[in-house]
Amino acid sequence: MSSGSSVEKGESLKDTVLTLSAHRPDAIVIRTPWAGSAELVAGWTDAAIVNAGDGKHEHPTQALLDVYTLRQRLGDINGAKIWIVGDVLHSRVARSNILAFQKMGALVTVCGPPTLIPRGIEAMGCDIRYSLTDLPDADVIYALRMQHERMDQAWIPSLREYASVYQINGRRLLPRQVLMHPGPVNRGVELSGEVVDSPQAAILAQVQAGVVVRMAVLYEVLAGARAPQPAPEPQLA
Amino acid sequence: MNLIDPLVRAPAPAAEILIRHAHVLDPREGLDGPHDVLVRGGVIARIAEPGTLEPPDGTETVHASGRRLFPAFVDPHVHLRTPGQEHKEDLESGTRAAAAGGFCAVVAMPNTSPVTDSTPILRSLRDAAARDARIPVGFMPAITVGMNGTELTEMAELRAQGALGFTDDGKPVVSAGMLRKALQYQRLCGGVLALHEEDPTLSSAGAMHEGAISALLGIAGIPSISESTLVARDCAIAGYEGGRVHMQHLSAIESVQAVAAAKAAGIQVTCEASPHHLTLTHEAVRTMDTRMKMNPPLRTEEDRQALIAGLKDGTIDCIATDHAPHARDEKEVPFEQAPMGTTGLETAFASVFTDLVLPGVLSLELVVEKLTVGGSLLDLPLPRIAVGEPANLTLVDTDQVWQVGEHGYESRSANCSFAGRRLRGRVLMTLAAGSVAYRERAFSVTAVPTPERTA
Ligand SMILES: [Zn+2]
Ligand SMILES: [Zn+2]
Repeated sequence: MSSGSSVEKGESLKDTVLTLSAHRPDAIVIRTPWAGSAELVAGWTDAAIVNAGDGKHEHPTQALLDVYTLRQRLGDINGAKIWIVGDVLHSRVARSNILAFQKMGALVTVCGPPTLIPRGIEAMGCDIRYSLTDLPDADVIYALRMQHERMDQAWIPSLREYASVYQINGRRLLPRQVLMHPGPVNRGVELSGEVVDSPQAAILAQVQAGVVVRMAVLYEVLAGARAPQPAPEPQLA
Repeated sequence: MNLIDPLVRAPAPAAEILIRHAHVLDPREGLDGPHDVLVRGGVIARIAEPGTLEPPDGTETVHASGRRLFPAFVDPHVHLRTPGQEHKEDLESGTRAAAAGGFCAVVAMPNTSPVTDSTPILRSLRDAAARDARIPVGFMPAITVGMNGTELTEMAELRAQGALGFTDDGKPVVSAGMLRKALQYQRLCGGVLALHEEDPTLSSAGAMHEGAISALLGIAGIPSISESTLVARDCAIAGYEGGRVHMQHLSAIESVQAVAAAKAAGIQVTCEASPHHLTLTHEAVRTMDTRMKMNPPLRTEEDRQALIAGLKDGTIDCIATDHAPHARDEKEVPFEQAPMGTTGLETAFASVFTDLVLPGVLSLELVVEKLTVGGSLLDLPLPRIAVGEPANLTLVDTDQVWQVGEHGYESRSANCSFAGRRLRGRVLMTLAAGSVAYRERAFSVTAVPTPERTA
């Protein structure tokens, strides 16, 4: 529910959801620029709500597909060291992944420019690094997309400097490490072209996982717990 | 300067009431025990041993055994949204809410539409208050024209027309030079400058306290230093100019420390804390309930404890609600989009009583003192329970438990950060400036009669 939706035309989120609900949908998939929208909307409709990204808060299906992809690659991610690198401050993917990776037993480190690491993030249980010096420790490197507009408010001095300090490139990526990215990639900024095309990159596998995982999510909300339960088997004493 | 009375209200009949057997508590007057209090012609005529006074003819008798009688409260910081935003609140509904909360006077902020920054607007507001206000209202016009921070309002003329003091509340006076000029001009016109302290380059687009929970929610934070740096700066400017400033709604431990240091240095600074900052923390924002969005934001437990300690040691002079009504649809949006503010007049006493007095954190005497003293910081008279004083009284049932509901407020708005809570302590009657301004009616979904403790 973002581009082209009536929210953009000045209709309130509530009215949009009430209008959609009048069609009696089984599920509404919602993506908005505002934290908490999915939860808020759930109170206004009987439809199942799937959060497809609420502002800088969370992106749960991305986290599910990332966990799925990693388990395909590594088998078990319990104890895996996962570095999330880049603009953590503005990233809903980072927040959902910190929660999801930790839930699966991984050890999460966030790394990025100090201006783009939110104060207090350590309360989520992750480590914080401001340089890639210890990156060789990582089993998995999850690079975040660096938005060009971060330049406008002086979050970082330049994309050039960002790339020189934080870009994952052939020098920094070890053969045993797995490289992930939520897409779309800015080649030459957060990732060099060579690593995007390297065998360590799981980026296209993530895209493929996106389809099956989101199918599974829709199946779960449409035909899973919400589906009518079959009549219980007659109990024979 | 030749000043007119800064308080205005609608005409109301002078009370003729005998309040019998109430437990009278006015710490400043040394009253703490059962008494009969007789009000004749709106003035406290006698205070006597319980059960000894008989009502003169035409006098109503209120049997108040087991009830508490306090000097009524004064709120130096409310938003009555008039002119221009009467869909949120108006002078009648706002003062009715205040009376229901036990207040006998309130001070209205100027961030109205248009901004209260000129004598015609001030005069029309005072005229409206003389028709509509249930209790006396004082007005604080803006320090700068349009609250734009670039030119001073006609402060001397505004003072002559009844301006109580000046404030750009809702915004800080960003320019140190502009605040300095206002403080210099204060030597001519008097009137305290009340300051909303927030460095906009630090608070930026923040919507909640910057810390562990903003990091978790991905919501831009408002760091404590956005407040405390301006508090310290403005105390320094006030000290240099010998001026008087009042710091509004302190929220951070660093700000409390800055005010304590300024007071120790002899600077003429007073300050306030709100019931919500004294009882809630940013934990309440986890659910992204927009009623918990206000400016300054709810901060950490450490900050809350510093505010409580500040009240106890005198660093914080008074409790002020910063009553900030918003229409339901304005708050029924995602958290980041919602306007900042919570209502507070009707829950002020009960929230502080339930969360701070009952658990033994603050004494009832201190809370009554801090709820009554706010106006006097701005040179308004202090409500006192003493013979010859105008009747400014609030009668409270401190055993009554009630549910703060979604509806049923006297205020036009329902964006109360205590909604859903069961609070103890109910205002039964308020006398303001000698007249009965409020009597309890059904406020909430249910008034719970059992006097049980609430969490
Ligand atoms: Zn303010
Ligand atoms: Zn205010």
